[in-house]
Formats: sequence, C-alpha cells, structure tokens
Amino acid sequence: MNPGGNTLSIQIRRPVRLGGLVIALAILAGCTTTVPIETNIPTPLIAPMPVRVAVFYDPSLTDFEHTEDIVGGSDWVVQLGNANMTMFNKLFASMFATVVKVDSLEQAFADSEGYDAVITPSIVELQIAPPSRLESDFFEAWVKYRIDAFDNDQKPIVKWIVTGYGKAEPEMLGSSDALSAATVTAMRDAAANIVIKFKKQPRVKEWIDAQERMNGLPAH
Amino acid sequence: MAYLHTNRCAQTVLVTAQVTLALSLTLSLGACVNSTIEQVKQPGVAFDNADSIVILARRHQNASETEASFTECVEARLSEESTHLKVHPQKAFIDAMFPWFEPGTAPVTTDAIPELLANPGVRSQIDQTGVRYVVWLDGSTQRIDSGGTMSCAVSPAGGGCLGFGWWEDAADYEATIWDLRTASTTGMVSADVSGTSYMPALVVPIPLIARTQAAACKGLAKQLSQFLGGAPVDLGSE
Repeated sequence: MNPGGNTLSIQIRRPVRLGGLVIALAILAGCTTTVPIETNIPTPLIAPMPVRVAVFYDPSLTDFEHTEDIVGGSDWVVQLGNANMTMFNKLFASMFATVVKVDSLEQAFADSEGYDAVITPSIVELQIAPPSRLESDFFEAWVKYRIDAFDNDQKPIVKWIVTGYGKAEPEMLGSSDALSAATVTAMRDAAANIVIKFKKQPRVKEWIDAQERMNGLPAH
Repeated sequence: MAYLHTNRCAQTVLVTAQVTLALSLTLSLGACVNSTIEQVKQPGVAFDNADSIVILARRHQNASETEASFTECVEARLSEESTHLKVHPQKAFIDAMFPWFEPGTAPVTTDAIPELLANPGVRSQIDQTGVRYVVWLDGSTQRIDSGGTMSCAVSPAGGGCLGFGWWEDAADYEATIWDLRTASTTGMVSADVSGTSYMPALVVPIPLIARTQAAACKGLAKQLSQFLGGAPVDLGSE
C-alpha cells in the first residue's frame, strides 16, 4: 500500500463483467431510475372465440408500478400500467369476437344481456433480477397475471394464473434498456401463453362449448 | 503492485510499456481459437433456393441460452455471404407468426409441425413469409476457466497496473435445419470452438482477446451456407 495514504489500489481477480460494473456505478450514484415500459406486441395469429365479452381493467393493473430495491440505495421503478393496457387490449381484441371495455364490474353485470362473459385481468407480481443478484450476465424478469372470467349470471368461469419470463443482455443495451427489454419479453411470453392456453383451460373450454351449442355452432 | 510518483518514473513507464508490448506480441501467438465444425445431412435432401430460411434461437430459462448477439451474427453473415440464400429476418418472422414461435410455444420437435400448421391462419402466414426452412440455433459461449492476478494503483502522480490474467471460453453451438413443408429434419451443423485470452499488464493492461464466439459464428455460417447451397462441404477442424 502507498505510504502516502492517497493511493487507491484495486485487486482484479477475474475479468469484470460490464453488467456488474454498470450496476456498481448505479449503486455508487445512489439514484432512483424510472423505467417506463412500452410494449409492441404483434397482433396474434388466431381465430377469435365466438363470444361477446366485457373487459374491466382495475386501476391496480393500469397504474401498476414495481420498485426494485438494490442493496446500496439505488432503486429501479418499473412502470407497467400503460403497457398492461396496450397488451390486453390487443390480446382480447384478437381472442374474442366482440370486446367492450367497461368502467366497473357493476356496469358489466348490469348489462348481462349485452355480454356472454365479463373478464378482468390483474397483475399478481413482477420480479426483477439484475445481473449482480444472480451473478449472471442477464437482467431477468418474471411477471404473473391473473385472469378472472365470469358468465353473465356473475358466476365465476375461471380464475387463471399465467406467468411470463424474460431476460436481456445488458452488454448489448444500457441497464435501463436491458431491464425494459427483459420485462417486455416477460410480458410477451405471458401474452403468448394467454392467447394459446386461455381457451384450453378446462372450465373455459366447457363454457365456450356451451356457448357455441347455445348459438347453434358446432362445439370444438 | 505498481506505484507512479514522480517525473522520474516517466522513463520507467516508457520501459515498462515496451516490455508490455513485447510480452503482448509474444502472447498474441497464444491468443488463438480452436474450431471443430461438423455436419450431418439427411441423404437425398435437395434444398430449393427459391424458398427462404429463417434463423431462430432455442431459448431456455437458464444461463446457457443462445445469445441474441450470436443469432444476429449468424443471420447477418448468411445474408451477406450467401447470395443464393434468401434469409428472412428473424424478428419479422417471429412477429408475423405470434404467438406460435415464442420461447414457450415454439414446436420442439418436427412431430409438432403438423399440429402447428393446423391452427387457423398459420400455414397461410408461413406461405406469405416464403419461409420453408427453419434453422434452430442452440448453445452458448461459456467461461470455462480463468486465472491470474492483477493489481492496479492510482495516485495523484498517475496510475498503473501490474499482473497477468487469463481466461478460457468455450463456444458450443448446434444448428438444426427443419423443412416446414415436409415436417422433417434435413440436417444438423455443429460448431465447437475454444479460445484462451490473456491480459498482461505492466503499467497498461493489454487484452489479447480470443474471439471465440465470433469464430463459432463464422464457422457455423460458412458451413450452413455450404449445407443449404449444396456446395461441397469441407469437413473437419480449422
């Protein structure tokens, strides 16, 4: 060590990963980084189910924010509300023959003749893991949604949990962009699961078949 | 540990930089990669160059997922170097086929292709893209060993590093070619590349990087180009 006491000495025992370095710099800065998420999920390539649905978006979904605390004082605030709305609007428009957005569940149930079902999606949780936490080279994100569907007698059809996972390389993107990309990928993964697997849920399948029989269509 | 204090050290810096350069030149001979590219082709398969191919990555929920940068590299090299091949952009294909080629929903084996094509709109959308062959990339580049120690010091008079570090990377990739029209696997190409990088430091650290992943990309793209183009294939190590 320098006897003068003004020498900074660093031991490097293995190559420093850029992702870890970026996180370290963010920690040193001690700041909060806000990451608004924007999605551009493609229009799903599916045939819509022949039903009319009312969709209610709870404010907990449309205003959703997730704060990820990083040890050392730096926080990430991930704003997911607008992206949730954009995603579900696009998915439901492709999944169902007719979709009407309503302002409350009460409004939807009051017009029970107008719809075959009422659907309300919600977000259960979002988890973020920066590279430093998992000692990996990636930002990783897990998102969990719940979709509640009711028939027009207000009886539950299904309460279905669906998850999505995504990761992104911070070395190709900045940290905020990598976090955003991982979250968008997780949402897209969840969206793909929703589009393909929702109608395969046994309760949903039974209900759809019943609707098709009522409407004189051949059941699948 | 290196200290830089006064102007007197300037001469020392010059000398040590020269030594570093000489050491680097010596070691640069060692910063190389070893590649083995292999392929398996189904007999009697003839590729139709009127059709397009798309390069897709198998994605897993673990650290060994194929890097996006590698997929982009192979796609770019094939597009640039293979005038006889029509390479459809990966993102455009996945978006056009959403949600059927996402990580969690894409067919894992060729047995699942007929079921995939039976979904409404899927077959016609594939026809619109012109894609007949899907090249699935699987594998990753991993750090398999590393060592050495380096010390860096900074003082008001300057700074510098002393030491030596090294690391070895292994890039192991496999490309599986599917024919969507016949719902079958037409062949397979693999690249097994390893390389050791060095970083000597006498005042200034000089990285001597073995471009392992780039070598795997180049080798795999070259072999795929020959494979799909029907040209004679040079097997073995390079």
